[in-house]
Amino acid sequence: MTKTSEPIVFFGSGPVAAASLAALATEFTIEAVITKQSPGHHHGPVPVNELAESLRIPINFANTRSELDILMGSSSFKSRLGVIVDYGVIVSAKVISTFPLGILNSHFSLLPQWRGADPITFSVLSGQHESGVSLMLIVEALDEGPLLSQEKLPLPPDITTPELTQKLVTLSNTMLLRDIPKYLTGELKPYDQPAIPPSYSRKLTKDDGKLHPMSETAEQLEREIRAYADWPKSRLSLGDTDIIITKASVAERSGTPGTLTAENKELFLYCSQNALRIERLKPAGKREMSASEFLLGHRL
Amino acid sequence: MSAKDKIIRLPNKHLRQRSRRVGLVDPAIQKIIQDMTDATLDWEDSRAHELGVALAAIQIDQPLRIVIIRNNFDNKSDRTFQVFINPEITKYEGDVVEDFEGCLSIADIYGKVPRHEKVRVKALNAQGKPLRLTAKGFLARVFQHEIDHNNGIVFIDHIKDNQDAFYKLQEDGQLTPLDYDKDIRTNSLLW
Repeated sequence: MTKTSEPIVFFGSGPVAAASLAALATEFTIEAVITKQSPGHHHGPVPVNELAESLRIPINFANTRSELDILMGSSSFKSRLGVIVDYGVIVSAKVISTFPLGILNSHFSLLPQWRGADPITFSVLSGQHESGVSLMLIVEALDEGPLLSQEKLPLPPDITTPELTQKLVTLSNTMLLRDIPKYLTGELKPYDQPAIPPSYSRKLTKDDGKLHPMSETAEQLEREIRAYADWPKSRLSLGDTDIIITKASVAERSGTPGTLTAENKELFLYCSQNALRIERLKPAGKREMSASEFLLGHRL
Repeated sequence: MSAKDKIIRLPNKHLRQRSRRVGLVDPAIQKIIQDMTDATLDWEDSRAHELGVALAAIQIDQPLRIVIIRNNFDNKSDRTFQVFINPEITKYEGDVVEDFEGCLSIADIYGKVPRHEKVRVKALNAQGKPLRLTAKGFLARVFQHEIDHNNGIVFIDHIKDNQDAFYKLQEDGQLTPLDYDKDIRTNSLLW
């Protein structure tokens, strides 16, 4: 005798959501996908949308909390569980309660560390040696829900946000496929987040991409370059042109904070402590290049 | 040949024959049990939205009263089964309830089948030791479905006149109602 696997409703909109949906769809019946409508001016790919269409999963749109309330109020899904990854809409308690087993979120940090919108970037920025994934049942309060499982991942000192995202997606997918069935059968029980002081991440703004060598140490700036590698990237103004620094390291030397010097074909930016050795950069409107290539054509 | 290819499907007539009782649980029987487990899991691995929860020996074309039942009906990673030899229902209890069931021998069709909520079963275990148990809920349904196989009955036989009981498993895992007159009543593969 056979039975169909339990259906679940998936909420998500970004690229990480698409990667999670692709994995979930291999094991579960996705009753519906709830995602954001891409804005009219947006012409890029909408990964979740495209994937759901190719898998022939019904798609519903909700861009805000109130739209989601209306959508869920007028739908009757038979799924006992919702799964939410990378959605970007706050979910009301009313919507959460429409699922008898709640809504499960894969959050890319070791909660209660880095609650909020951008845990991955803040993990890189903090210089911590360990990150991970938490499976949590969401509550209305931001990222404060009980956990179902948590797994750690060591962070190499040179990791960038895009690289870490990739690793965490892989870990998250393994955990989702392993732990959702255990939760459905009651084998896995929710437990409180560890009682340690929480930390909070936030959405980045374009301004976060400005480097401040006068007030920050070279170590901090080097982390920013790795943390902001995807967006907003790390910029420095050189008089009339901007450069984006894509790779750098910390050099133990001192000089006047904020000055940029070329020494032996190497490019140094002096910071409030030590200097940043700029290894690769992208001048505005040009391709990415090494510091020595840049110095061939640019007089400081 | 992969393990799941041993599974026979309608319109194979063997599915409508009674199976005979097992005498001694010898190595040949143990081999059949292993083949049944392998076939079920191999079949499941080829299916995106279904679990193989049980199998009767006739489904791998062995007309013997042997049934294997999955220990966990919701978790695909639990790939263990319990073996029941010469199983018999000694008592039906509780209400008759309808729920979906499918069959490894009937591709992509699900049915809403009325079954007793509770059954008492006696059987031999894999070591040939007698056992008795009371099954409730979905497990009771599974026992009724599998013991039917031993008697040459498939689940669609219970609902053959019910126009609203047949569903198709879609590629995305949803069950949608079938057109009884077009897809079921005159389907020579089924009857």
